[in-house]
Amino acid sequence: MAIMDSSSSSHRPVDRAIQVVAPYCDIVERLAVVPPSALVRGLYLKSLESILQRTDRGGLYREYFAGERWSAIRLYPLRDYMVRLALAGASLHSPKEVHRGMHDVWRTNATTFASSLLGRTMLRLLSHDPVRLTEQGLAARRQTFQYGHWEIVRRGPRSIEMVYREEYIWIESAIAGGAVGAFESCGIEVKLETKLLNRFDGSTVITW
Amino acid sequence: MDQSDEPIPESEGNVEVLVLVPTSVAADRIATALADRYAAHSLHFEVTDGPSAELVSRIRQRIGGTPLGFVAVDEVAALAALSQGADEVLVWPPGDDRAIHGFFDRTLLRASLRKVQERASAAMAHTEKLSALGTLVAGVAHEINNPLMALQLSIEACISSLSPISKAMDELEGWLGRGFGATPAQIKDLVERSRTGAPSIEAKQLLEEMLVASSAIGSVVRDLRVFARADNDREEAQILDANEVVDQALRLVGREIAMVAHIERDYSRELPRVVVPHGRLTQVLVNILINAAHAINDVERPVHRVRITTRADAEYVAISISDTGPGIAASALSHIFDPFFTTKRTGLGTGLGLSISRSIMRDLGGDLIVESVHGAGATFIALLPLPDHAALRNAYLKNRVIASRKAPRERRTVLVVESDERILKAYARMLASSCDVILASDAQEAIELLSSGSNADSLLTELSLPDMDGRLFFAWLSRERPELAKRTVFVSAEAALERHAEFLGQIDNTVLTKPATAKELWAALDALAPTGTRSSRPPPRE
Repeated sequence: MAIMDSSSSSHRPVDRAIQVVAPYCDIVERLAVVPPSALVRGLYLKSLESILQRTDRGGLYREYFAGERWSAIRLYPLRDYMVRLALAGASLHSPKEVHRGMHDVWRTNATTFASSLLGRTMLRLLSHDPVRLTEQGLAARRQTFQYGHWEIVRRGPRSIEMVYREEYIWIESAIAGGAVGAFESCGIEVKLETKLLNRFDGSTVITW
Repeated sequence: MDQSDEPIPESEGNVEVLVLVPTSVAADRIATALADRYAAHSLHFEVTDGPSAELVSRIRQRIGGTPLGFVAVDEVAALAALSQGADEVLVWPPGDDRAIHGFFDRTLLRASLRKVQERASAAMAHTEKLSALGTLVAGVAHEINNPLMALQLSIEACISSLSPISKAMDELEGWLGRGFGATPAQIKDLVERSRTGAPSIEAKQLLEEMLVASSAIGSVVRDLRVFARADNDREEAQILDANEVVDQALRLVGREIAMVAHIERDYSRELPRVVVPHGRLTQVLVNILINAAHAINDVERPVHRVRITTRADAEYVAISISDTGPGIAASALSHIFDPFFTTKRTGLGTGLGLSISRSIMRDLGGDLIVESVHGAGATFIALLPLPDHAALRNAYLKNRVIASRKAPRERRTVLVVESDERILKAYARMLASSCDVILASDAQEAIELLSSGSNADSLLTELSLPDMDGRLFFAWLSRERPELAKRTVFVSAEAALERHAEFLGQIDNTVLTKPATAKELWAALDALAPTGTRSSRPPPRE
């Protein structure tokens, strides 16, 4: 019988990274319920490194996840992404300000998707119309995250609500940051209010 | 007798089995537990750690159908390994040796079931292909019958132009039989008559036309053979230009679409080559195009469009096919790739096409995804991985012939911006004979197209457009696409109005007043066309 060794690492940086952010966010509780079937495309994992590189604040992140390679199109476990997102947030500001960091990381997600191959093929360009831009956000989410459910509910002539169900990523910080960033990048002035029903359900009301 | 103690039947023979383990200790333990009962099998172990899903997927690709067991450190890793191609998983540490025996038996059993399932899938793929053939045949019959008719007419003309020679030969033979009593005047007359109808230039033209017609038939047959080969799992990967594969699929089913919609080719001009089996990719594209053809028949619009876009990044080539059909309801989007799920009318499909197409794309290391705005159309995106150097070299050595060594496409691309769908449709019809035409209903759509990589050689635009008018659009063009701004023609019913005078006075572009004739439009576009792309259009109709 042949025995080959295809890896030499035996210590898990993921576990150590979780320990860094666990005191300041509920990552442990969240990871415990995230199903293995929840997946995310690699373009958001790739974008973490580029954000940190651009801001020159990737020191903490690279201590645990240096030199990782992700394919933009492939799907990866959401759990892997959540740990890295939290650590990138901590790296961007500090472990204590992990939520602020995740908010800022997600602020760039709209442009990250729009400039990706999928975005260029599917959306072509972020719309300057609030309703269309929200629809684009929903379409982008549908193509890049495989779990949970988002939907748009019309609240009035100048108001819509993006409703999140079984959203394992932090709605109050990361997802809220994504909404801010999407409208910001298109120069659309809107009022955003993100609400939480419980840890995994909530919504963002967009009024203009 | 305890079932778990049943050895694998002898008929299975010596089976190669690969087991991925987290530590060499686990490998030793499993090897020991299996040593007595499975001596007939060749067991191989690989020690792995870290993210398992991608590794398992890579190993599955490497080993093909070989049974693959995965020993995981937890349930999460176990499920991920199963989803990526492991036949069975075992969470370490096992309770006792029986757990190891069960794990091994199930690995063999599931590998064998997988093979049965693969054979069944192949049979289903064949059924789906037969269904697609119904649509193909109409288009292909037309593609073959037209050149065939040209060939027959040319042959008849050739025969009739050769008959004077034949008659002259008969007459000459008669004279010889009679001891040759012809006068010089009779001989001169015979020579004149033999030339009638058969000047060498005409005969040469006829033969050239026959050659063109027979080549056209040959192309259709070649495309069909590529489609037919798609069933063959052993089809070799080839180095391909995705744009040409799209064109080839369009030759097979484009006619079906062209009868009801305008086909827009929005191709990237610098598309990297891919290495995939030609037939399998063609099968996927044909299937999506047939779906688009069926979808656009389900809803009435002034002008239907099927837009094929090709783009690439450092990892993938994306081929996107969008239609202006009714789109897919949000509730159906998540089921669209399920086997036997169909939104088509009875008789238009088996509900297997998209399921098979996605399996093919995933087999090729890519993916097939769908996005839709219900009521506005659907977009299917086929993603193909770019080959690494070794794959390219390997494909080149095996095939020797690169499937796409043709000269670059010579047809120019015209982007037309017009908010009136009827005029848009008329432009599309007029220009499609010699240009690739991309249509945009307003300036914003045109900007989206150009920003996402669409290439246009010339631009034909209305001056009065909703939201962003021609003046603002031109300002954007001058800033972002200055070369295209120079090759822009304005067509407007309002060109003579005072409010446009200042803007039109500042630019050097051609401005046509509606209604413009085809001759005027062609003249304006031809004046802007790059050298070598002006020919081969039909004479303009007034």
